[in-house]
Amino acid sequence: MTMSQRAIRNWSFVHKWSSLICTLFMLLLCVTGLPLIFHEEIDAALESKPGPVAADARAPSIDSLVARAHAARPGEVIAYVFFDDDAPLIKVASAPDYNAMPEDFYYQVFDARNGQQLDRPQPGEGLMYILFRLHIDLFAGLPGMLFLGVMGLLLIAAIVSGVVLYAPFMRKLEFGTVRQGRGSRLRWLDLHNLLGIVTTVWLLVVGFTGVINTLGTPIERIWQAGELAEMAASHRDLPLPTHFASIDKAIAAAERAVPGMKMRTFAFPGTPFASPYHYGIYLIGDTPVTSRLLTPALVDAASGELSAVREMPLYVKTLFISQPLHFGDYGGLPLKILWALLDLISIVVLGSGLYLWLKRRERREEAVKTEGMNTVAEVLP
Amino acid sequence: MKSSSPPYSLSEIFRVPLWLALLEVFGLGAALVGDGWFDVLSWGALALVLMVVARALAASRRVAPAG
Repeated sequence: MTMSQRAIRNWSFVHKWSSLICTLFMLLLCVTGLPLIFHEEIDAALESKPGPVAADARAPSIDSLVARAHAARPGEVIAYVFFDDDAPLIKVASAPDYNAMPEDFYYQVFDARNGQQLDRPQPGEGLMYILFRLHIDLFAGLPGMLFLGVMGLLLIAAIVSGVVLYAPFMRKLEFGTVRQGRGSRLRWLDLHNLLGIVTTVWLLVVGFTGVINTLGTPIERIWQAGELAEMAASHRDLPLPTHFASIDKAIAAAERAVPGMKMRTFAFPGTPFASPYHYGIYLIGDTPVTSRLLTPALVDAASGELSAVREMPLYVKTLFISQPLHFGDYGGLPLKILWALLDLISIVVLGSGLYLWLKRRERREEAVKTEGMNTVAEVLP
Repeated sequence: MKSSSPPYSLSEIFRVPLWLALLEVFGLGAALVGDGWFDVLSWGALALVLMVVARALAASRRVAPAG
């Protein structure tokens, strides 16, 4: 079965325009994404590791850490407590108010084993933060994120049309052929086809999960307005709590409710991840998949008793599973290195695609000047 | 690997890419399913894909007649 010239032309049109529109942004994402693959390693290298602690060190209560963090930032509210995945660290986040933007949060970091406060840079500083923001939203917030999502959809269109066009290009060539000595255009065309077809699945997965990640904020808001509000509904007409139960006890109550899971994020009443009456407690399991799937529990902030716990709905789980598949951070350092190599290959595919388009334009202009020939499918076998 | 001569059929054109695609799906999935050996399988599968690329590039360089 061979494609008609007309079909080839249509797919070429899709490939050309979907690529042209997204290529510069995709190059930016591939370049900024490269160091972000290793952000954990880079952060760990830049920050002092929590050293050994005395044998008789006693782990502090979360209540005491929160009290200390609050005393250090008296004008602010304590909004969240985060447990680190890899190191015995507890991060207490305060902000001017409960609905503050992420960049307005101030983080105080404590050693979970002895309560010693560690001097750590704030996350919203430094080169890695600039790369991060360029990568996720071009410093443009939600609109920037959604814009990159649309660019991701164009990338998917470019990949699919590229795979379709691979067939007519390869009818007379063996897999992996890179024609040498017949001009740089043919060499780069073959390289573009080879590297493109080989990285297809990886780039499709990273592109598609990237698109899902750009929907993170709307997904969060839908969940907060729907499921989270439902979970808190039993308290809707009660007066707001005036005294607060122990955080440690609330965490213990939530962990008892879902055996095998441990707390990772604690949200205070008033934040979008809790309710006005509840502590929001987010738990994770310990396998590569379950460590990504947060399970929410609401604990009555006055009594410290569990109010509700339920699994996340499918659309939130989809977001959670999309994260590791986009970041490549779920199989140790070797997987990250492979991720980086595939990313580098993608940069070559994007760059060579752009080069081929520029070259073809040049050639077409030349051809029109000299003999007015039709060059639409001139390189096709 | 190739017994026939050009022009190649669709199944001939996509035979190697399809195998590579399956390897990638396996490689991406394995590390997600478990730790330890699953990670190793994942590295192996993705490394194999990159080795196929490296081999193709090396071969084309060898074959290349200058000019």
